[in-house]
Amino acid sequence: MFSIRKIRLSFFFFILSFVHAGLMDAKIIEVKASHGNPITVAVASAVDGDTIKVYPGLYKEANILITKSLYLLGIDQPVLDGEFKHEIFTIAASGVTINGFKIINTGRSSMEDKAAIKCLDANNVNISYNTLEHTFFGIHISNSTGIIIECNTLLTEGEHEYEHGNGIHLWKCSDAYIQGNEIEGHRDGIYFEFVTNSKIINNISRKNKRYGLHFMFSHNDEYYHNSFINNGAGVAVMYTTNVTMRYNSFEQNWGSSSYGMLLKDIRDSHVEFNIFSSNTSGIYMEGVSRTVFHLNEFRENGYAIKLMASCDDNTFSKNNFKGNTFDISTNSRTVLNSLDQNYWDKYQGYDRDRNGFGDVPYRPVSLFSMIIEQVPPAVILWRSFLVLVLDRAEKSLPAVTPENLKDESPKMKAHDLHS
Amino acid sequence: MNLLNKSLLFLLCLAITACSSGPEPIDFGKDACTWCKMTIMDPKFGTELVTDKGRVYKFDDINCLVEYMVENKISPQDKHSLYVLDYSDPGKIIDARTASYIHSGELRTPMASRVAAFGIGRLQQAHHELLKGEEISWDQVWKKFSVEE
Repeated sequence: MFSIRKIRLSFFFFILSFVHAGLMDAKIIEVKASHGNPITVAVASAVDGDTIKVYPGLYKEANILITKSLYLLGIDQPVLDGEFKHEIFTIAASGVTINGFKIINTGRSSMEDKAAIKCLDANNVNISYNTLEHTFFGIHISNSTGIIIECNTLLTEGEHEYEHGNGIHLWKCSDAYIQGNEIEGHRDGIYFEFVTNSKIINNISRKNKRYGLHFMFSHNDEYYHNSFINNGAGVAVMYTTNVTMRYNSFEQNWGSSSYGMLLKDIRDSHVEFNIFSSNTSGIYMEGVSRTVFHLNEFRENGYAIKLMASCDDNTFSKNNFKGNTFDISTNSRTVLNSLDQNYWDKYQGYDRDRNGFGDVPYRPVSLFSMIIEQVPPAVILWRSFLVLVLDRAEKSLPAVTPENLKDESPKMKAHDLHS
Repeated sequence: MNLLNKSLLFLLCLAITACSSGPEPIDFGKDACTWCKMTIMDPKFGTELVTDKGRVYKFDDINCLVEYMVENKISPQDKHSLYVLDYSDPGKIIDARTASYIHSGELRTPMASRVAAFGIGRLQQAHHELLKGEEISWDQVWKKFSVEE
């Protein structure tokens, strides 16, 4: 077990001192980088409620198992190195805090989910102000409630997509609070499966290989003020009821199976005040019902909304559609969704009674977009004379496009979404 | 003449390869699941349906395959080819009907089917004890996901 690396560490002293913290029984244990496994030793000697202060330095320690409620505080980001072999922290106790560490180089394995910080059956754990680099999974939580994950930076890279784990991964949790994290280069930036009553606020998730945010079977969750930028396939929200997504931005997700937001089997949800900009499809929806899309901005997407026939009872009101190639496309004539008071930059009607809304309805589905839905290569004819004539003819006498999908009162000027 | 022969041969080769109807390798990170639309990432769990006409549909999990077939009224007795990826040899494509399956709560599959497939004879070699699951057949897999809907 003695390696040259470990001998090199003997430069450092090993100081372990016990200081009584005032009136309370809780101790503060101080740890400095040294030979051996100082953090593991400190964790072993601590009791519930103790604080372990870790001073700057390089710690080649791994598989640190925490089974007591401890407060681990990194001073000036001490570095924990897993040497591409190990997991670092495994938490199996409630009331643990991990704050201020820099954790690098975890092991990668296709059979087990190695993570920088893993929690199993642990409640009220707080993970904040850590920097995670070159990790397989970043923060991996299962079967836990009341987890707080705040202001961490997670950054990884690698060649093959399947060599990556998720940045912040939650499985079977409830009441989680995830705020102010920055996640880059993982498989899915934030991953939720069976996670309920949780809040995701102010995070930035970019350049992840698959989804910036991915959640399945996760009911009653709320997402505010997050940015999802340039992820492999955008954001996927699936098999969930009662989700609230407000003030998020979905940007620059380009690719044939890439979406600003992919909604599949979603019910009773709210998508409001979001910005969808520069995506192949702003929103792709399948099996979505009773969901409200209100005051969103769709800007410069290939398709603003792809609305599949399996969607019903959704309301799109007061959204802005600006500079999209296609505003809405669908694959069926019968559409059971309503449009109301949206702003469409392609609207060519007039407003004679000057009430701010157009006097003739706007039909956002063009004939050509329906043809492309059936025969994708037909897109090569886009902007040709033939297509122009077809679309004009269809506009005056709808034969193929859904007759009912129209905005009866299209807004003449864009909604001001920033006031 | 020689050139003509060569080009004819080339065309023939092209025609033959175009007609082959075996499974197609999954491009992980690029291909999307036909049913749930998720990008396929995990080489331990993908599935494939190749119709008798040679059309290939890829799925990220076995319940996606079954649900897609139920929705499109494709019976498992039809002569389409069905393939799964071998859990013990990630990325390897094997026949779905003759594979062995493990259903285990320990398995984290992309769409929560919790079913892993193993090629003939591979099940005994590895993972069985590790996964603490029950062994099931293709018919049971079909029943499990086609009825639950």
